[in-house]
Amino acid sequence: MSNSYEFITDELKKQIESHIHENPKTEAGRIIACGDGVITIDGLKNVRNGELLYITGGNYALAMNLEENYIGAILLTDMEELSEGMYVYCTGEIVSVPVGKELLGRVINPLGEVLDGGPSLRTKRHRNIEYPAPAILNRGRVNEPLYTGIRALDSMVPIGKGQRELIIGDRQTGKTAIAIDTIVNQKDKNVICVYVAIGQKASTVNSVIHSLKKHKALSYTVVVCSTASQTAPLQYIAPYTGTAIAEEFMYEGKDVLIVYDDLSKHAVAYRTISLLLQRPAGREAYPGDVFYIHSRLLERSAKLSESLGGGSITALPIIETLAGDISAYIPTNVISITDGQIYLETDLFNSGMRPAINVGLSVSRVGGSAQCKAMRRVSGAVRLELAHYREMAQFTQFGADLDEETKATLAKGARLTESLKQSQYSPVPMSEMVTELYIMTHDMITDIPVEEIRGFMTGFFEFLSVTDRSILQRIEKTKQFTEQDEKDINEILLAYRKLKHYE
Amino acid sequence: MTNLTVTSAMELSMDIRKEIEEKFSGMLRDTVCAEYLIDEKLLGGIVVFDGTRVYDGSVRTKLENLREKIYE
Repeated sequence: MSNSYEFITDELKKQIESHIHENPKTEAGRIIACGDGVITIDGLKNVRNGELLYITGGNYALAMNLEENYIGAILLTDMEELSEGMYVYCTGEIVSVPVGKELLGRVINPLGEVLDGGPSLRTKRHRNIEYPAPAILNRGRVNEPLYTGIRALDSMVPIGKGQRELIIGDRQTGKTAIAIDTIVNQKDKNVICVYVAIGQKASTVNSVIHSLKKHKALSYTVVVCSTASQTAPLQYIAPYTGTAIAEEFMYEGKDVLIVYDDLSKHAVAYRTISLLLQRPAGREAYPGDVFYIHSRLLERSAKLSESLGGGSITALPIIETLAGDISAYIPTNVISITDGQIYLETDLFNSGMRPAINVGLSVSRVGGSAQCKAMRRVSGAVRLELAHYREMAQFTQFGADLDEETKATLAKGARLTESLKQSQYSPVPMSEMVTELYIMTHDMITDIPVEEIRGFMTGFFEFLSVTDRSILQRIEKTKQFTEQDEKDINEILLAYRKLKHYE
Repeated sequence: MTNLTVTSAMELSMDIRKEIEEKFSGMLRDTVCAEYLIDEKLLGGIVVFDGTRVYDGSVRTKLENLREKIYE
């Protein structure tokens, strides 16, 4: 008995001996200064830019500045335990995060740690947060629509799968609402969503997660969360983490929608880091490469060619402007990177036009070719008519006497504007949108008072769903809007009018 | 010449210091100049840093390694 006891202790001793003596494999340096989330390191002659550094005691940092005599690095973990003279080791890796379908429905921080209190992640794969964008030849054409479920957007500012569409506007204009609505609308559409919160209030992120949960959208969404209380380096890497997670799905051939909420705070976080690292400040105190941090991020959103599986990442970056100033530094940068923008205005929002999209300033540079035939057929006129209406409305503000034609244009524009109003979390399927735009642009309900239009339309679609669902299903399936469909809708509309005594 | 930083839990005797310097001078094939620091948190053993690598023979690190192995 005592023999086997000794044997076990001997074995243990041997194992312990073999494990606790570890020869130094990697290069090391020492901290010579630390503060404000930035550390200066002496040594580490062979470190690479962007390399992950390990600090004694379980902390990590990211090498950012490689100077002649010292290294500047940003801390990814708490700096409470750090002190001068601590050893810093090269890891030979760059920051990577767990990726894969296990992440769906989870809330993680930019380092891939679980925040939702659920079980820890058991993913098989990790992915570097920095990764080159797909090459020119590996890209396919953006030719498939990604429906936002918002009438004003899908008709006039269509978004294609693989497109980058900026959402820009002042605070409190419904930027996040548009992004969340788009996520909610991807239900049962085989699109995976990633929501990246950068420098947001924890309460805001919490309410976003709750509304996603409430609308059963969390099951196909990954939330990457860096709140305002977290350090600038964490906020800085958050969008890259989100993109790495999205990329994994894209290279598997899936369609992904990623929302960066918002990139102005990301630029601010990067400015903080740059100033602490004593890099020269440029315009608005942003460093010279602030354009590059956004361009390399958004270039990774793409539509892959069929030979690579045809997956896509559609990006919806959000930028917050101050007093509607879209000519500030960061807004102009991101506008020039993206393939179009959705411009939201405070005045429109306050006048009850929700979503508060300024149709004149909002554009989509590739989406038009991604629109389906049915939508293209009915939406062509909408944009023009609204532009015409706005011009007239400005002209006639002075209350001059108007001729009949102008009056008609104004009335029609007001009607059309009214019909584009939509409340939050109520995405509209494509077929309903097409039907409604057809009715609106063909002057079929000019007798209905403007304020009753929304009620009338809601009632009409309820009526349609109990009488004849086949029309909507047909449009949804064939993605075409034929003359036969027009005829059928005319008939049903007539029947509905009779029922409601609008004759 | 290589600068060494030798950290130990307690003051090292002159004999040990000499031995350390000779060993490292032989290993690095260079003359060495050592600076001696005391850090009680090491518990025992010594940590030598030659400017590029850390030779960690402290009791604290050994215990930490052991703890990690046990967790695994």
